[in-house]
Amino acid sequence: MLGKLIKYEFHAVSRFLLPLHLALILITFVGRFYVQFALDNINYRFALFHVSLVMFYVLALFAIFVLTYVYLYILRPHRNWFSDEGYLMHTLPVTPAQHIWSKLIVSVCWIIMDLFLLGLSIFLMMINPDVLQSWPKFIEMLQEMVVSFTGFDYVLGTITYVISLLVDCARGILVVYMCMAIGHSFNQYKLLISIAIYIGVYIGTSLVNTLAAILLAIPFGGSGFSSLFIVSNSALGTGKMTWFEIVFSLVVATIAFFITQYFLSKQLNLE
Amino acid sequence: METLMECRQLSKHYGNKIALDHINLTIERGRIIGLLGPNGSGKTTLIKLINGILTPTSGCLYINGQIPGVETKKAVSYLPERTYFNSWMKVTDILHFFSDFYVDFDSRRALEMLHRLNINESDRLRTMSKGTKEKVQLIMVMSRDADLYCLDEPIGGVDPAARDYILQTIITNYRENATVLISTHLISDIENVLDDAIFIQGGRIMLTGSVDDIRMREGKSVDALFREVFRC
Repeated sequence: MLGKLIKYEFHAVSRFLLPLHLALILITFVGRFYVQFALDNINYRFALFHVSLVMFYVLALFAIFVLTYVYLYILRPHRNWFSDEGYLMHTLPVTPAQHIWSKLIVSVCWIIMDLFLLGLSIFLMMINPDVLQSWPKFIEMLQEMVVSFTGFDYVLGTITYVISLLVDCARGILVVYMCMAIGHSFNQYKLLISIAIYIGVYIGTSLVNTLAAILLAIPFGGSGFSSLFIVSNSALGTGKMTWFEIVFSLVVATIAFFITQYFLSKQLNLE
Repeated sequence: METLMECRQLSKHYGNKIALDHINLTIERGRIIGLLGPNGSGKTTLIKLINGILTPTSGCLYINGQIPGVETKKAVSYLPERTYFNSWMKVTDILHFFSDFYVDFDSRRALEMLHRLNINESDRLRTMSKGTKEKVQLIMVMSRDADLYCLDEPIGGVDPAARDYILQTIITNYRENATVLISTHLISDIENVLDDAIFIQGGRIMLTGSVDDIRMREGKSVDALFREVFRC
């Protein structure tokens, strides 16, 4: 049943996200050709027009990024679980855990796709002989960043960083599901309660992260807010903070998963 | 007769409002039952509890001896009082959806009914009238070989000619040992197809019994009795 849920979830989500990302590809190609044309025919009379177009591109990129996240994190689960569609979804012979997994898997896949396409778009827009020439330097800089961010060598650091991103993404999604599921178990003010819980969870998890950053920094010579600054910028390069963040995200994600499952199975309240 | 569904001291509160108040109810197999009551009497709440989209405040509810969950959802076919399909869906999408998730779904039966009502499989829901959407939904629900069909106001939004067809559909498309629970306040339209009636008001069961017994005992139709019991 999980496979079937994933199939329908992909189908439903792609109806919105596929055109959005096709638009991104289209904007990228048109923009790329325009940039090439503008570079080949430099005319300062059109400078304002060029700047406006660049602004439009940046805004479009930002809008696609935000819309994808808002849709996957909030709109889709809300509509599918807690509005009229919920009357169909919650009467299917599937478990709440399968509902959560199907949405989570599809959302993570789409976020990876979104980030990849956004990155590719920026790359295609910026690429020119100068950029290509300095490409090895850029890769070297990227490697250094990964090493300093994670505290591991480049290969392990990259793997850890990707795992960290995936776990963090899953945590973000599951926390939103949890807040929504708790909020919708109430008879009134469902949305307000969901938002209030989200703010509470956000503050709580940030506090734990900050405390951990301070505690993990102390043995390495820092203390108080100075060490917090250093660690939060991952300049310490010990890898401890990276591992802590992964484990902490996993713990929060697991708790959020089970709470969502409990509220969808034992406290569902579709009025 | 074999018990299909049982409620024991079942209550549901929405904040301070009591929607169902300690009801005890047993539903047997092989019956067409009218769940009758005025607006806000608790009909929809009871049906939602049966389908597991609401959870009881107190008390228990069993279908085939199990509390609402995956197993009971395999056995219950539910028609809510609202349209729950996406408007972008075509009728064929819905057919595939039901075939995928319900092993007891009979596509052939659904197609026959769709053709008889001149509903095109390639039409999208957004192009249909409210009444046609309700018909599509009813066809899907009645094309399952379920143990219990819960129909919440199935004839509320359609014209009188379609009502006859829908009632005929309900009578002819359920298995002999299955039960159909129809919630409505349009009693005169469905009285002739009912075996039993449950009167509900203020979240309490006022009366249960076979329609024949009620007619004989009270000397009037169920519709007339309803108007008398629930007079404003």
